[in-house]
Amino acid sequence: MDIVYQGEHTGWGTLGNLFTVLSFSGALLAAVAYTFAHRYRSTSEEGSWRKIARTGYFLHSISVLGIIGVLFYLLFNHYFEFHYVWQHSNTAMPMQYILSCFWEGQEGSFLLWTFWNMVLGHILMRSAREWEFTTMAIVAVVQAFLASMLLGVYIGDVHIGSNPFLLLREHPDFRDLPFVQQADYLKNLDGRGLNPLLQNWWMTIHPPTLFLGFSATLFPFAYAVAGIWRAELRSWIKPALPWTFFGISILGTGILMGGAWAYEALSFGGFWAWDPVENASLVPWLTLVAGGHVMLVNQRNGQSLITAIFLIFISFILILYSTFLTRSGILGESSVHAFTDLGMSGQLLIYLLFFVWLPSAFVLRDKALIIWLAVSGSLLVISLSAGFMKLVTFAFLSVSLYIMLNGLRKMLTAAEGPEQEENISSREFWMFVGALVLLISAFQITFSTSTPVINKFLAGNLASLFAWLNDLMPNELFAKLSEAKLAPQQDVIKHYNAWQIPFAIVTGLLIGSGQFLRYKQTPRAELIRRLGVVTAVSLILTGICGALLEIKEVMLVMLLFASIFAVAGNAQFLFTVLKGKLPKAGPSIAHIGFGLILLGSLISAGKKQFISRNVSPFDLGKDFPNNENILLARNDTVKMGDYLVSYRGDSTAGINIYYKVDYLQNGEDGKPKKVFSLNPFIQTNPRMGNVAEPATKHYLHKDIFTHVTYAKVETPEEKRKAESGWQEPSDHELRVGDTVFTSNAMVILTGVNKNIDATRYGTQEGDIAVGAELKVLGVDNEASMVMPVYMIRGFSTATIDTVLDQKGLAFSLWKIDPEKERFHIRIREKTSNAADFIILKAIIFPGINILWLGCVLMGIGTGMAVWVRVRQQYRKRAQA
Amino acid sequence: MKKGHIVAIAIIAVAIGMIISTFLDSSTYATFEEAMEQPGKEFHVSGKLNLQKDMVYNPEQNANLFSFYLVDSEGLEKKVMFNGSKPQDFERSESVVITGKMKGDAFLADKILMKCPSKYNDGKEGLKEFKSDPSASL
Repeated sequence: MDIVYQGEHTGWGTLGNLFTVLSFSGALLAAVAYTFAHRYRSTSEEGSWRKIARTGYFLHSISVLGIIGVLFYLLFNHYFEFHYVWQHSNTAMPMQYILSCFWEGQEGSFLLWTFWNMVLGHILMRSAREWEFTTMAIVAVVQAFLASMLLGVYIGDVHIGSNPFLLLREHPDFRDLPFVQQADYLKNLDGRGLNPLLQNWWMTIHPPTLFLGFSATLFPFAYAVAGIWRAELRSWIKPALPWTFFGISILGTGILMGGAWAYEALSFGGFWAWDPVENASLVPWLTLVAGGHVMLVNQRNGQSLITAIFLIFISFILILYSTFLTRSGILGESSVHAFTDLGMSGQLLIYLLFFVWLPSAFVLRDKALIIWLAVSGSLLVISLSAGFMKLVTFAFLSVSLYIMLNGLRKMLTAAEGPEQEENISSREFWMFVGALVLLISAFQITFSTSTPVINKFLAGNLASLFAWLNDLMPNELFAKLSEAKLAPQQDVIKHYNAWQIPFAIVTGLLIGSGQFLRYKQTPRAELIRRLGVVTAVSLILTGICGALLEIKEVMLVMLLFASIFAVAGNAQFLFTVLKGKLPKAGPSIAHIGFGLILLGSLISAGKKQFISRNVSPFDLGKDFPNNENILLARNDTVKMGDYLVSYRGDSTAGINIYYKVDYLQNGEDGKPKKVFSLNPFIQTNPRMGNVAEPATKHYLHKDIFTHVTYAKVETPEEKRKAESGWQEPSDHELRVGDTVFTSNAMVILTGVNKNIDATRYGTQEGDIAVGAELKVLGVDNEASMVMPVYMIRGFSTATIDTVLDQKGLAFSLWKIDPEKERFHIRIREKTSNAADFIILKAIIFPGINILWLGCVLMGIGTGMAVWVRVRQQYRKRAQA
Repeated sequence: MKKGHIVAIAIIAVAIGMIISTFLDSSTYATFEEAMEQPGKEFHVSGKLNLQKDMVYNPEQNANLFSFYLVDSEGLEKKVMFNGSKPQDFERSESVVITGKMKGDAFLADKILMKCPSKYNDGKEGLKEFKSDPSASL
């Protein structure tokens, strides 16, 4: 019998599915129609094909907006009958993070990507003119691929895409559970909720910016491939240039926003950890920067065309590769924030293979094309049927690449003869060298990040081959390869830095000197005069900075010089050569920004200082070098660096527990004064686990990062218990002037009071009452006076205790030794005094604002360059 | 020889150097038994927590020492001494990847990668990393 479920809104799901199918078909229609429009260009059919293609693209666009609208509607209304809504949100969640819920899952982030492609596609459609058919065909194919990721269609056991409108009770993980067999299962259902780490302001702006950057790489790629398609290898560069630099600007900003999120919200203490996911987005940016610069070179001298095409091509492919890495689950054991597998790795791989293959089909003509189509088709079929047989897939990729590059070379030589040699003193030669340095840098990062992929590739035949080689010639390299169990480097940071710092040095030097070189050839005297000043200034500054910051390592000193040189060179160029003329200042500003990013990273990361050094007497020896965490009891004060740090207790607000940490410094009068407070917190989340978030005090020249690495999170009941209970008392024999310490205060016996007010304690004639005057001095220097009293009446004695509630302390004077003038004081502490501690990590990041300033300048400078180019093109068109 | 060729050869040389250094630098996934065969050498070991045995974290004595028992994929159990604070919600993690070396009968870990059920971006599980090395992040 069918169950009639109550309270479901399946109609919305149907609408969402309708839009999903339409967006896929619309994109496919546009791709096909644009291809035909190109085929029948300048014929009478051109117009109608264009009309169909544009209609298809509009249909696709409206459907994408429809999908997004429906999904938001479902999230807003907490329709937990939909698996995606259930999985990524709940009713308790603050509504401002609904955007984060939207793109937390793979489906939502694919939607975001599709959305930006779609929007930029409209700009392309309006601005591309004679390039519209070919470039838009490529955009539409990409959109069809992306739309297919949301289809959720099963063909046999293979499923295509993952549908965001799938009902919870139809999801494979749930459909066999008993609770979904109840008609009113929705009544008490709440969502699983959003990952606590994503409930952060940066997470609402970082993903859209990053995905806009991802989208932007598609457009130069579309132009480059369209250039091959139309056999116009040269003319695609000019219209593609603004797109390239737009991509550089946005993708760069997006990556650095991710760094800002990591710095503000994550616990590792830093903005970059060479995590595979971070690397995966950095690599395409590096190749895109290289590509953009080679395109500029080509605009000047007509050379390096194939390199430009290759770099733009590889940037887009690397975006697809990074999507594959982060979404296929292959990073499983090596990355902190990769997506888990939705069973779409095959689909993602086909997506990647297709776009590596596509240009190779455009360079061939006639017979060769037909042969290649047959060969590549059968390779693909073999590869697919055997579950992506490694060697066949590899052959498919490398042959495609070879055919593309070889075809390009032939096309070019046939058209214009071999390329010219560049003069070594020309700007273009060094820009080209710089681009290659970036390419090698990107290669190194990709290769090191790809160890899980390499393991997969090695496992089996290749591993046996290396085992055999290792028997012949035993060495560590072959032994490692034969096991196919490569793990990430032991010290990841060190590994990457060892390679990337030299690259950064070369890049900095090139950036600093490049502007002074002229295109074609630079007169030597002019070059020496200009560079001489900058070099001298940079050397002096490096000396000063290096001495102040105590940078001693040779590599770091060189990096310091290179980054200062990059900034100084471009600043001088900006003011003396350009005389501050804004329209041409974009590149200089962007380069200054890049130099500052290098400088800021060097200072903040190289000179970061853990002030929470544990000085515990329990030295664990050299096997345990780490002592960056320190215990801070409530109201205890510990010296950390230049500060006295005190933990003042916790408070609960909503789901967060805030730990108030005061930073004090000695004032002019020598007494500690509070300088600032930080409230690092723990977000309690019974379902997903508690997550600690740091708090950071920002100064212009440094940041103080404070993170609770461990705290006992008590239930309210446990807390009440701890507050009412008392610990074992401690006894002290004191003379006047003596001091004892409790966990949170200093207690001084300042005097003895023998003239106790009689009425207050109900004393009688002949009673002896003595009070111990105790001064209780907290870490905050707040003094309180307490006076426990000892009484003798006849032969019996009594004590009158005093409780100091605010410190959780109780005092009792229980014996007096008149001969020795000793007073026996018993002190009890509340249980909560002992339980109340946090484990803290505190780091000072000097000069991190240099880094953020650099980011802003780079974004602005690149943006200006884009704007100037777009304006130029429009003016030319207006004149024409 | 053309300048282009010199550049190309230099690039290929650097690339080969990079590939080899990456392989040599990389650690290896291993079991406790393999790690015991080469004490002092760094390995990645993945396994499951033994929740029956004590997890010891005494921050009053030392805030940077946490010990627990891990059962590797072969079923061998070893005591793990982690040089760092106890990760929040450690008990909840289903499987754990630790990085470090064997010393005597204990495994000295300087990094823990936790896989917690239904955490992080997606459905089934998520990862969380805890490092002890102060230089381990930029």
